[in-house]
Amino acid sequence: MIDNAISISNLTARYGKNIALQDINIDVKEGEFLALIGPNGGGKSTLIKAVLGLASYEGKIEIFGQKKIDDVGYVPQISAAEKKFPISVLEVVLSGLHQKTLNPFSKYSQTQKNTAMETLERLGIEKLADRQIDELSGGEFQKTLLCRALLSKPKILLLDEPTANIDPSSAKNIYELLKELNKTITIVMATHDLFAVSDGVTRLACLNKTLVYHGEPQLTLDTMDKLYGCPVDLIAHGIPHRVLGHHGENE
Amino acid sequence: MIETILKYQFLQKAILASILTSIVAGIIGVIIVQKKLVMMTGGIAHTTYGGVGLGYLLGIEPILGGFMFALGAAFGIGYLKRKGGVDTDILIALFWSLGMAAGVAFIGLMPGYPPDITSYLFGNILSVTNFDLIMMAVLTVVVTLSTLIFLNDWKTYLFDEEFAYVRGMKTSFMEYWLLVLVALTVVVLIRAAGIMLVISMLTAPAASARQISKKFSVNIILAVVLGAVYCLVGLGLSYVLNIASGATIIAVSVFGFVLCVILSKILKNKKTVKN
Repeated sequence: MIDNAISISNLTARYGKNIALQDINIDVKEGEFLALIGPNGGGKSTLIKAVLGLASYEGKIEIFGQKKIDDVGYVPQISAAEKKFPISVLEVVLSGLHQKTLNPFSKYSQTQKNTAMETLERLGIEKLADRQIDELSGGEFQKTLLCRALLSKPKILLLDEPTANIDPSSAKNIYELLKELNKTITIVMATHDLFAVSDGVTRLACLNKTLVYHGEPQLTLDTMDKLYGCPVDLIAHGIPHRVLGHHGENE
Repeated sequence: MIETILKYQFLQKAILASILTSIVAGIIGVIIVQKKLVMMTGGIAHTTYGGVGLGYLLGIEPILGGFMFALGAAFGIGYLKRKGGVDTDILIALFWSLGMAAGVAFIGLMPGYPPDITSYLFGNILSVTNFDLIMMAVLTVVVTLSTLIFLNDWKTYLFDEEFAYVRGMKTSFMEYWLLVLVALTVVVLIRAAGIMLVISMLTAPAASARQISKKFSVNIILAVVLGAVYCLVGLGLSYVLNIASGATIIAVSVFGFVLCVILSKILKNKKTVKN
């Protein structure tokens, strides 16, 4: 039997008086690549933040049967403000090694630096190690944050909109990397990018305050209708996964 | 000039005070400019006025009263911000004005002639006492060691608080700690720049450094050095022109910042032309 990497039961989250998520039940199996899709304000980010303990909620969330988040790597949505911080790519990545307690007089060891460089190489951005982050493109910065999350060798990766605000070819590159990483790591990714769904994703969860759909990465027009509340134009692409099922002329 | 400095002890004290203030202002300035805590710092600074007033009323060292109020403001604003419900800038405004009002009220309650408190409002580095210097030195050591010893932890926290939390860092502790460091810094700076002018002493060197370098540690060193230059030049002007030191130091700081902006613009243009 495959273990549940993340098990969410009866989860309700509120922002003030507004309900962001209501009665959500999702199990993420080990090895899965789950895409969380839904409209803005549908609760994708809130769900990820709840799992990480960054948002308050009612209900139960367990990670490998426990309440600890030690095995989770987090890749936040990138913001323009963060990019102005005077810090280099290597320093950002090394901060992924932070331990629970404070580290007085800490200097990163050569072994730690080597690990960081290897991770950067794995993602193809080792040449950027000494760059300051405000010189990076959106895609490069996103990869830097992915590297930072990988450094603690997580069993689960949580990504919040990894392709928001970056160009399509970088986005494709990131999806390829994630597909590769999914061979060893369970991945949960929130995205509004419906193209993402077709590539490498093994499960799909559609959120619009409630869980509209959870299952195989095949979307029906009915689900899309529930999700966005109006008919959506979709371009299905990619083999073997199609976002939309095949449909005939008469439909 | 050197002869004059050697001759007058008050000038030696002023120079020592300038250097101490530049160190804390450089370190904490870089952090608050980066973390957008400048107005928060302004709030804490102005709240200390209440403490200065209370100090006069109770007949204790006014700066000690200010010290207690600065810490109170740091914890108060930090706690209420965490509790949520009220916007941070509203909290800052209320602490800011309540602190000033309390100061005026406490001074008003004093019997007889009111004391001259302009030096607390606008600063006078030429009148620092031995007590001030000892207090400044102790606080400078505390602030410097707290930041430098845990530099990597601060970088992790300041760059991305949420990620730091996910990695298990006690980010609420870091937030309070930072606010306490800001409060201590404000107390150090009050004697030199005064309550009204503290923020520009914190921002001008840090903002100047930011024009020159994009590295965190280099930024701190540059801010300390530039702060010292601004302070000493301001001090010299204050002595020569016989104007309150707070005013000259701030004028020199802002002028220095503008100069850094212009210079970095020219250098950038040159670079692009070359490329």
